[in-house]
Amino acid sequence: MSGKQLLHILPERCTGCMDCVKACPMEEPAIRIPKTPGGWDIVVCRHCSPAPCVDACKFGALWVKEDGTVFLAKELCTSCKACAAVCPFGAVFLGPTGEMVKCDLCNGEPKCVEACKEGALLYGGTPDKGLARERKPVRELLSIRGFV
Amino acid sequence: MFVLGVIYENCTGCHLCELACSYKHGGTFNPLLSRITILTKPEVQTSVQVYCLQCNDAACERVCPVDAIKRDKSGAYVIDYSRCIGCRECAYACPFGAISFDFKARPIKCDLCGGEPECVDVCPHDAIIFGPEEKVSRELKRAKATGVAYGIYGGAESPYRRKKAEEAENFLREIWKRNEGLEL
Amino acid sequence: MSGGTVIVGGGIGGVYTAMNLIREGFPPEKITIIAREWPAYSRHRLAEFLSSKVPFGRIALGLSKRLSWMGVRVLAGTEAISLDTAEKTVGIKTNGGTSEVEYGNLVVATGGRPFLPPIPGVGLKGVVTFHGSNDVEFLSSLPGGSRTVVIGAGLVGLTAAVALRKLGHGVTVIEARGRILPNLLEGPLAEFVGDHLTRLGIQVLTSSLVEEVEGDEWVEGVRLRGGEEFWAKSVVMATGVRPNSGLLRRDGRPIEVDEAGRTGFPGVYALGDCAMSRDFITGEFVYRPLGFVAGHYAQLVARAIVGRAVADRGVIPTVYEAIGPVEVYAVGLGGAEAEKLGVLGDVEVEGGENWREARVFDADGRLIGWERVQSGHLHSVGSANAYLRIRELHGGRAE
Repeated sequence: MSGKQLLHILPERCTGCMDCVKACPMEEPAIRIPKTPGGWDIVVCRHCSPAPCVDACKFGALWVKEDGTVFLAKELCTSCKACAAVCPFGAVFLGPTGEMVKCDLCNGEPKCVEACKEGALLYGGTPDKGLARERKPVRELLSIRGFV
Repeated sequence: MFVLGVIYENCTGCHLCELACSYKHGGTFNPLLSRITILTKPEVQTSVQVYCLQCNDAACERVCPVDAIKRDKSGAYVIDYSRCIGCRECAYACPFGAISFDFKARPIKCDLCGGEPECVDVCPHDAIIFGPEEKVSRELKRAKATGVAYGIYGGAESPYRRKKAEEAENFLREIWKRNEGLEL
Repeated sequence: MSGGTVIVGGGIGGVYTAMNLIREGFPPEKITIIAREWPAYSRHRLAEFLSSKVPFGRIALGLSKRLSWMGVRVLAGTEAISLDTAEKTVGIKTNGGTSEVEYGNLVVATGGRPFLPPIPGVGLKGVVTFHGSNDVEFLSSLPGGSRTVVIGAGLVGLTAAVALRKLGHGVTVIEARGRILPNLLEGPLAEFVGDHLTRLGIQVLTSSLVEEVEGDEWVEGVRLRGGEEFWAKSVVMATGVRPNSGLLRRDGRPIEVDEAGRTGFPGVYALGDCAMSRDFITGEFVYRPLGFVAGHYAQLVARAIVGRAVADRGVIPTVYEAIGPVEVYAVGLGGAEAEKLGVLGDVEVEGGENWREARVFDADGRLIGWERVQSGHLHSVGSANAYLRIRELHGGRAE
């Protein structure tokens, strides 16, 4: 399938098993699964385009790679946290040592997707078959994301 | 308010609406870039139409973190691409799968063509209708009633149903041939 | 080195100007950095450096090593002491004595220094600021369970207080103004942060003026104007930053620049905590000693030096800080800053169980600021929205 590969995030399928968190190869896992009143939310980078974090970074430490990954270069990051201030998903966040943490899609082979047995994380082309599988009622979904 | 309705009994799965939609919005004939999607299963003579219902209090509008989806005068939820950050939350939130992505991974959805939907114009079988709520609901009822009267629901195979299925299948094959390997 | 670019200051502003110059195609060997401390490090990580005790090597900016490797001349351990704008030379002081460096373009990125209010006893041993690595080294050498008073409840003071509390010290925060984070947050939001600090076991006193830091040689305590006394082994002065503008002006005020960071002197630029910067929303030049402002001007100055056109509208402040369990977001102007700039209209505050949000509007009802404090959430839907809205309402894209 043509089009770029994307990380599809479907929190309504998440069961909170934390396999993805364990699978994340980063020192501080870049994916976080908080419990919400409606279930489990998935907090990980959406690799937006045009991403607000890239716009807010004045140090050139965040940019969009050719494959669409929003990439954080730790070498250039000063932890000024401007990216965290504008990210609506909390996907780029302050780690315990003061370094910013963000998903880099494991260079195109996201380990969290491999680990997810529920199909809550998918990596695929733009129209992805996995997306069409059973969908939960929209009210449930909104409650997971904290809108109801 | 004007609404879009699909009389699925009339749909033959010819995919002409998809081609028209993608051409109107992006200048190319590519069903993948259409805002309306017809999923066809010729072997059971059915097609399912996936399109935006322009819900009230829509999930896509509510999950958008940057308020980029707004309802316009024609009642359509329209994506403001100057605000859209391409996070795709709207597509995941839509319970009908009516929001898809273009090749730049930007979300695309039906905008009712500003009040003159192209798909309605091109549908050769009058399966897509657009008009005031009451009129559309009346059309839908009439279609259902006609379907019952002509034995579309239940009942045995009829020449009419066979003809419809063949039509759909032929058209699908043709598109398949033109776009080799394309999944529809 | 005529025609070369000399950067005074080895902090974020200086290092990123050098990097941006190289990105713009400026030859690295024609860049000289005059740095008192090298390698450069980021001040934004001092609190985490203190609380998680990461080795210093990890807080140093990887970029500074990269610059030396690319051929940038770094005069480490040197300090610029004078400037002759007519002859285009900078006087520098090293261990061995003084000398002069010629420049084609000069970038003054001398940063800021912590402001010490004229309180008796601030010169005592055990009184530190929270500005450099030696402050952190001193604070991490304190024996566990000792008492510390933090004077000033800005972002620096509060992150320091939380880091010290994490190390098991008893911490008291004293703020002269009526609420904590007075420049950043509206009252109800500051209250929320205050409640959480109290729950962490940090004592927070507002509207309290320090009369004297007591002790003979070493700090023994702090006395307030009302006579109240707090004993403490150490005092952290987090009472704001003042510009190191001595090279260009004697009055201690920040260096005035235009929209590309140029000063009034030919070939002399200034950026970072020593200079003014332009506010995106009002277009006014303000003093904002914040990291991303330096980063923004590092891009502009580099562009101006290589002769590219610079059309800049200024910086939208985007502040995030984790203060213990509370996350603080502030995009755009806060109420206090808006008032100072004369653009304050209405402020709307709403809140729930574990969050509070404020929206600041100008007199025409346009959004100029958005603030949120929360605990236990991991994301804030709304911050990107506020950022985009402010950018939209006040003149298109930031660049």
